[in-house]
This record gives sequence, structure tokens and C-alpha cells, in this order.
Amino acid sequence: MISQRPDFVHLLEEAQMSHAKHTPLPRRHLSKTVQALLIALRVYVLLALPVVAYAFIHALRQAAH
Amino acid sequence: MNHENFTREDFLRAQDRYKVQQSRASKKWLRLVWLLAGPGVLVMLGENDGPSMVSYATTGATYGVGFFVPFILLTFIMAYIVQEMTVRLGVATQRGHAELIFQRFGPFWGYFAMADLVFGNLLTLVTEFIAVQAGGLYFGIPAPASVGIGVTLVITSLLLRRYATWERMVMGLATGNLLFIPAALMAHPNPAAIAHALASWGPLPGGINNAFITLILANIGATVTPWMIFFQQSAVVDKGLTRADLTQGRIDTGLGALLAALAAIATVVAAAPLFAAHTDISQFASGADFATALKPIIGSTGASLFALGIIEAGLVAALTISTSSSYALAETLSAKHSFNLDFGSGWLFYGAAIGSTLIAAGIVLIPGAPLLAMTLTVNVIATLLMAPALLLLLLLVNDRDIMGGLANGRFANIAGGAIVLFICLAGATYGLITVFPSVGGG
Repeated sequence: MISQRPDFVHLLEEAQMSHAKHTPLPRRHLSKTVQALLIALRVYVLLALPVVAYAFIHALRQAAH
Repeated sequence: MNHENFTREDFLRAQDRYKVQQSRASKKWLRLVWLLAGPGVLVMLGENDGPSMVSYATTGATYGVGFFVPFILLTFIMAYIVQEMTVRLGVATQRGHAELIFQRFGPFWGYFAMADLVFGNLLTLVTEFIAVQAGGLYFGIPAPASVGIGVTLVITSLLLRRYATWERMVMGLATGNLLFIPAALMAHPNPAAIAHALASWGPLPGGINNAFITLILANIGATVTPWMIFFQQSAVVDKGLTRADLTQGRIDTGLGALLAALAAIATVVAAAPLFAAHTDISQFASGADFATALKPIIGSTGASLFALGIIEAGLVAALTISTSSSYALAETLSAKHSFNLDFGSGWLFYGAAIGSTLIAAGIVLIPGAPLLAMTLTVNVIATLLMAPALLLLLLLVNDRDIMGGLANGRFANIAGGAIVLFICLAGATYGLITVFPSVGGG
């Protein structure tokens, strides 16, 4: 059973209310350095995943033999 | 304030806050910690999942008690540093991680982060059902039955429609992770060898080679992964933690890290007799094979505990990882996201958990699927995806506009930056020796 006593709901901070969560936060400006870092790590992931895929397929072939 | 506008989600969260307020007012500190614990313990024990326990068992069987014992401790310190940031982000912003990335950095980086998470989570979820299936086979349970039980458990947990109840249920289940401790004791470990390993970071038989680097990455991936960041921040918000609860949130995270580290090291110790016996584990097909191989050494009770631990690891992770996907997907699409929602309001949140669970379970039941190779590869992928996830986390937690006084200090930034660098270097070394095996000595 859910209590609907008002003293319960008033314990929530304004930001905790479900209606408050629908208001988006303002967009942040990203500096060139931060953008470069994000791009570098994205490239790192894009380069690394094929290597993992290669290792995965290699392991499968070895297991098959 | 007109409380006619309050939703079911608000009432249930406020009810939990009432208990917290009562405990704080009456200075019942232990009860307060108990009430506020959950996200940290769950995220840490959830990450001691199927592939993680296989990684730890492989580590013990390949290297025995040595270098990896202190290394695993180090990875859990790393995990604490990272996850503590998510607690601060949650209490400071009252937003989930995915929605913060989208709102602060825009959809371009948001979709990249989501793609990483969905890809990593789906693969990991598959391996959780592999663990459940493998553990079930040890006890003679057919694969469709054990996977079916796992799926039923995930769906049943969602039917609770109450964050607090869901959390306590999963925490109860997660205590099963500690089954690896009695299993380790049955292997009669030498306390002096463990103390020597902790003090000297050795021995390291075989030195640095391809297998060593793979296990380094697998052990990092067994401790710090992107889903943990998304899950804990969203769970902290869903639970209703505030700035006043930060200390308890940190205790929760530290306690979780400690328990998970104990279970992880216990798994290495439990599997170490296979190293001493020169057991060839290269043909092992799953975590349950470790239990079978250990049976003559640690006895049938110890082996059964090991197999039960593997099942538990898979089940708890299936519950937490599917939830991580649900939170992130619903946050991305600006849909409601809470365990306190009814099905009508939270159809996307609940649907994402059920959908991802069914897809993962279905893949496991495909005849001839390369389950072992997937298990070993998943932690490596998780480690590679961690670097960009960590950078986004560091950017958010340094954002004083949303964090205020809870923004990162110098120490946290140095530690966080070092973790990103370490993970990138480990990943780059792995790539190098995979493409050029002769570099790592084969």
C-alpha cells in the first residue's frame, strides 16, 4: 500500500520530482582540446575493435583445428 | 505545492526518503547505511559476473597465487574511484548518466556513448546467460531450462514495480557471489603465499606475453566497465539519494568494492590448484568446466559452490545489466525511467529490459554458437569501450555548472586521468601483440 500523506512527498527535493526531470539542462560548450580528446578516443575504439574481432576469429579457427 | 501533481514514482521515492529521514533524525547510523546501501554493492557484485569469474578462474589456473592477487585489488580501487564519481554526479544533478551526456554534450556524442553501451551490454548479457547455462549443466539442468529460469527471474523482478524491493531482492541474490570464498578455503590456500603475492606483486610465471596482456585486459574489464557508470548513477537517482547521503553512498560503493574484491581473489585462489596440477584449461568450454576440474581437488561441495557461484554471477549481472540498458535507453529517448513506474508509464523502460534479455537468451540457445570465445572476448571489449566512457564521465564530473561544490578535486582528476591512460596503454599493447604476436613472445 502506498502512503499518500503529503508529509512524505514534501521530503523530496524539487530536482527529485518526476516532473522536474523533463526540463533539459543547457548544452555545454566543448573546447577544441576536449573535442580532440573525444575524437582521439573514438578513433582508438574504432581501430581497436577490428583487432579484437580478428583475435576472436583467430581463436575460433584455432579451436576448429 | 499541490500534491495532486505527484506521481506514483514520487510517492514511492518519498516513502523511502521518510525512512531515511527518521533514521537520520534518531541517529541510527547503521540503519541509515543499510537503507542507503544498494547501488554501490549491486554495481560491484554485479560486475563480478559470468565472464569476470571465468577471467579470475583462468587467471588462477594460469598464474596461480601471485601477481594477479594485488593487481585485482588495484582494479577494485580503480573501480571505487570511478564509481564514486557517479554517486556525486547522481546526487548533484538528479539525472541519469545517458541523459546528462545527451543534454550537456549533444546528440552526436550521446549516440556514440549509447552505441558503445548497447553493443557492450548486449554482448555481456549474452555471456551472463552462457554462465547460467554452464552452471546449470554442471547440475544436470538442460540449457533451455536454466536459461528459461534466468529470463523468468529478470521478468519477475520487473513485475515488482518498486525500486526498493527490486534492489533488496537483487542484493539478496548477490550475496551468492561470496560462495567463492568457502570454495577457496576448500582449496587449502597457503596464507603466506597470498601475503607474499600482496607484498611483492609476484611471482609471475612465464613473464609478460600475449596471454598475460589478455588477462590484464580481461581483469580490468572484469572490474571497470561502461554499464557500471550508467547503472549506478541512474540507480542513485532512482533510489532518491541526495547530497546529504553522499557519505553513505561512498560507504555503499566502498563496501561493494571490498566484497567484490574478496570474491574475485577467492576465485583466483580456488582455481590456483589447477595451476599447481599443470591442468590444461585451453579446451575448457565454460566456467562450469573449472568446477568439474576442481572437483577431485576441492571436493564435490567446493565444486558445487563454485558452479553455484557461476550461476549467481550470471543471474545478478543479467538483472543489473539489463537494467542499465533500460535506464540509458529511456533516458536517451526522454521516456520515463524508474522501477517505481507502473507498466503504462514505464513501458519503454520495462520493455527494454525484457527485450534485451530475450535477445541475449535467444543467442545463447543457438546451436553451435561460439560461447567460450565470446565470454573471453567480452571483457576485452568492455575495457576498450571504457576509455571514452571514462573521458565523458570526467568531463561531466568536472562540470561546475551542474556539480557545484561536488566537482572533482585535483586528486580525483589525476586518478581518473591515470586510469584512462592506463586502460588506453593496456588496450594498445593488446592490439600490438595481437597483430604482431612475436612482440609479446607468442
